[in-house]
Amino acid sequence: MRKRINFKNWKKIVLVLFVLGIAFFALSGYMAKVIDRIMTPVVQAQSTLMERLNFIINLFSISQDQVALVAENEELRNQVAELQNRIIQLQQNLNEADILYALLGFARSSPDEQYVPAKVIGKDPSPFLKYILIDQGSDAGVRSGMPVVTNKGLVGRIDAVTASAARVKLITDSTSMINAVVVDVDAECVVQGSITGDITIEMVSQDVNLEPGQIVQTSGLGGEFPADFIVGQVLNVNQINNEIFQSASILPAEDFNSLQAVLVVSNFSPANTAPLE
Amino acid sequence: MWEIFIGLPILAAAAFIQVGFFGQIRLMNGTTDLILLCLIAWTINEKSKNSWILVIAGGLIMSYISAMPMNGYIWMYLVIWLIIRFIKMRVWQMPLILMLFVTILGTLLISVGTLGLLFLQNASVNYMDALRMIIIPSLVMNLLLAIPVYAFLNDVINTIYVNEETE
Repeated sequence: MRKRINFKNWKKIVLVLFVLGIAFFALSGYMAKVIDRIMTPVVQAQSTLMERLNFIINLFSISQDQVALVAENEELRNQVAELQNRIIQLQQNLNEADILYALLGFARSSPDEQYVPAKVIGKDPSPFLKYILIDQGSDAGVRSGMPVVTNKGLVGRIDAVTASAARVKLITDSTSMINAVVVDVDAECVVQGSITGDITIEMVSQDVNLEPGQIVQTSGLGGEFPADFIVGQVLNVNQINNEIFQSASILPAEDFNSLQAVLVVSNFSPANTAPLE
Repeated sequence: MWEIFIGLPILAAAAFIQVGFFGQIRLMNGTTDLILLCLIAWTINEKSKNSWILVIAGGLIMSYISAMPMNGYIWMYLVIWLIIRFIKMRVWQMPLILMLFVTILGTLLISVGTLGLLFLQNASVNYMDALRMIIIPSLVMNLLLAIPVYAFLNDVINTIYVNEETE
């Protein structure tokens, strides 16, 4: 105890009292001006020093941020590209779904017929021949001669079949001839294709009043196609007075250049007229 | 033998590309004949020895895919192969110009042959339309594709024979 209250340490006591006195004055507000004068240059010096230090720190840290930002930007670009691809894929799926819904609606509207839906997988490599390849064959019940349609109208008929694919001769092929009827005037005619893919109706009597816009349907004559499938509509009439028949170019009901899916009429067997020829 | 082993898959791939891709790309009504270009490029290469096998294979592939009557592609490709052999051996030995020349000749020959076969089938053919809408556009498209096909297949054949010589 005597050591703790050692009066020989008076220097320390004076120092403590001095510090306490300074603190008392400072807390009482008497030292404010003095402190201000001392601290202002110190604060300025500190502030200047910190600015320089921050500048140097930023110089290094910003480059790191830029690297991070570039990487993040790259990642986001990849994400955008991936999402755009997905959007394209979804749009394609949507288009396919639209086509399939249209075909389904058409198939439901004529419940008497049985259809095999098929996807178009290619075209004949020869530019002179108008054939398409579909992804359904004899395994799905597709047989040679069966008519092929879409919800818009007649497409053609099966020309050759393998187990898993088939070749369809389009109505635009130059060897294609279909018995048809111009609905509005009830006139029989023959729909003929050409090597350029244009179709015409031939052998229409001169008495018939053909006009653009009239609908042409299959007549069912000859037994190669069922009746009442739309072929197209009359576009331009070619009537020459001295000739026995008139003809007309036809706008096909289906756009054969963008054909993606078709229906094969599987419960129709074409009549075999070969023995009669 | 490597020529056949590598040539057949290339022809099969060309047939797939022809049916699925080039068949859709049309200039008016004309299309390219990728198999024809492959066979010409293969045949005119001076190192190729068994190109006739590939020509028959190409013809068979096309006859299988196409509705061309009377297996027309086989005969037409063989005629073109004979013409190339004749020209290559006796007249002309500049391969790139030969490629372009035979592409023109081959396209015209196949067009005329196809029209002849269609005529025999009583098809409705307007010859002026055929020339204007199909033959000339097909010729242009074949010529556009002839040099890339030649460059690619020439490299392939050279690689095959370099490997065979080193073996």
